[in-house]
Amino acid sequence: MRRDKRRKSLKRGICLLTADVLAAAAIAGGIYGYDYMIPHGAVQAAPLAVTQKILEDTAEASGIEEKAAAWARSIPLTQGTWQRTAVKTDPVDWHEKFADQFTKEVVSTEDSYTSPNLAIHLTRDSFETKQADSSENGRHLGYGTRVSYVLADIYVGDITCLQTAFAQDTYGNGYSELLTDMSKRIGSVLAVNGDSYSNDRHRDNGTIIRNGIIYRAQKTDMETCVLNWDGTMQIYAPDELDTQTLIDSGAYQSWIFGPSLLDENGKAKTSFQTWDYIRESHPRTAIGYYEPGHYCLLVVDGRQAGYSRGMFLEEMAALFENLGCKAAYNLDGGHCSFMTMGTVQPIILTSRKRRFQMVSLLRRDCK
Amino acid sequence: MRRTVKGTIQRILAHGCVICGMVIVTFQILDWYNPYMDFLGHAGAVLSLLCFCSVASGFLYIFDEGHPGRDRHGRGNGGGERR
Repeated sequence: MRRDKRRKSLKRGICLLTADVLAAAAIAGGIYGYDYMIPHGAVQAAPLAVTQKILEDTAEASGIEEKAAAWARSIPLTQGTWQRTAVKTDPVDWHEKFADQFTKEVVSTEDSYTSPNLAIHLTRDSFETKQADSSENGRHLGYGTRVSYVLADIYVGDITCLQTAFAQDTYGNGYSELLTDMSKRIGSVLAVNGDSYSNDRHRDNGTIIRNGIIYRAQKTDMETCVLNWDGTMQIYAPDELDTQTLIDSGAYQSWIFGPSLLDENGKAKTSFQTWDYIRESHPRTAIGYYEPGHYCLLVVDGRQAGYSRGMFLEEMAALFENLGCKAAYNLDGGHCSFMTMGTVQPIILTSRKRRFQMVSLLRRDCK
Repeated sequence: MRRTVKGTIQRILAHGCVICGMVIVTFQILDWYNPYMDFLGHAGAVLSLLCFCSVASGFLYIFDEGHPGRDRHGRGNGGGERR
C-alpha cells in the first residue's frame, strides 16, 4: 500500500518535472524567438533610398567634392530621426591616382571586375598550417589544419562606390535577408556580410553609422572600425570613441565587432581585444585598408574537414601584415561569413544552413 | 483551507524556481559558447522571477509554523520528523 503510494508520488513528481522542463524550454524558445527572430525595433533605413537619390543627384557632379556637396545638400545635417556626419573628402582624385587600375569599359571575368570607377581582383588561396585547433575540448580538431580563403583587392574611384545596406532595408532586430538577394536588389558588384550590429540590444553596443547616417550612438566595450568620407580608416578603442568626434571627422561607415588585427605600424598584433570564443579558429570576414581608395576584403572558409578549418586571429593578422595593409578589422564570422561576386553566383559559402545576413557590406558601381 | 492555499503557493513557487533556474542555466551555457549573443542579457525578467520565487519560497518555508521541521513553538527538531 505504502509502496503504491510512493510509486504514485514518484510518477507524479516525474510528470511535474517534465512539465517544468517543457515550460522552461517554451520560455527560452519564446525569448529567443521574440528577441532574435521576430523583427522589431524597426527604423526604416536611409541608406538605400537616400543613397540612391544622392547617387542620382550627384551623377552630374564631376568631382568628388561636387558629389560631396550634392550629398550634403540632399540630406540636412539632422533630418527627422537621422543625423548625418560631416562630409570631408579627400582632395586627391582617386580616378587619377589609380588610373592604371580602372578600365574605360566594364570588363568582368570570373575573378575580376574593372570599370571606370571600380577595380576588383579576387585571389583564391589555400595553405597548410600544420596546426589543428584543440580548443573547446577538441571540438574543432576534426576540421584539420588546412585553410582556404578568398581575398578581394579593391580600388574605388569614389568613396560612394563602397556602401552598406541593412537586410530588408530596415535597421532593427531580427531582420534578415539572403546576401545574394540583397546583392541583387541593390545591384552590387561584390558583397560580403558585415558586422553583427543587432545581436545584442541590451548591452551598450556601440555606434552604428551607415552611409554617413548615424543610427545608434552608444558606448561599447569593443573596438569600432570607422571608414571616413576621405577614404581613411581608423579603429577606435572603446574609450576613444566619441560620437561628436565621428561627426566632425566625417565618418562614413562604422562597424562593430572586431577585434583590430594590426597595430599602428601595420604589424600583426599578438593580443586581441575580444573573448576566447572569437580567438578560436573560425570562418572569417575581414576588411583591410591600404590607403584612401584602396582596400581589401577577406573571406575565410571554415568548419569543413580537409578543406578549411577557419583561421585564428593571429593567422589573419599575419596575412594582413604580409599584404601590407595599414589597418585591418575582423567583421562578423562563423556561419555568417559570405561573399558574392555579381548578382548570381556566390563564390564562397561557409554554411548552407543559414545564409541570411543581418547586415551586409556591399559595393556598388557608381556611375 | 489556509494551509491548502499556502501549500499551493509553495508548490507554484517551487515550480517557478525550477523553470526559471533551468532557463537561466541554459542561457548561461549558450553565453559561454557565444557571449556576443548575450542571452542572459535578454533574460532579465526570468532572472527577476527566479529571485522572487526563491525569496518568497524561502520566506514561506522559514515562517511556516506548521512545517514538519518545527514544533508548535517554532523550535527546530534537527530536520527530521518526530515519530
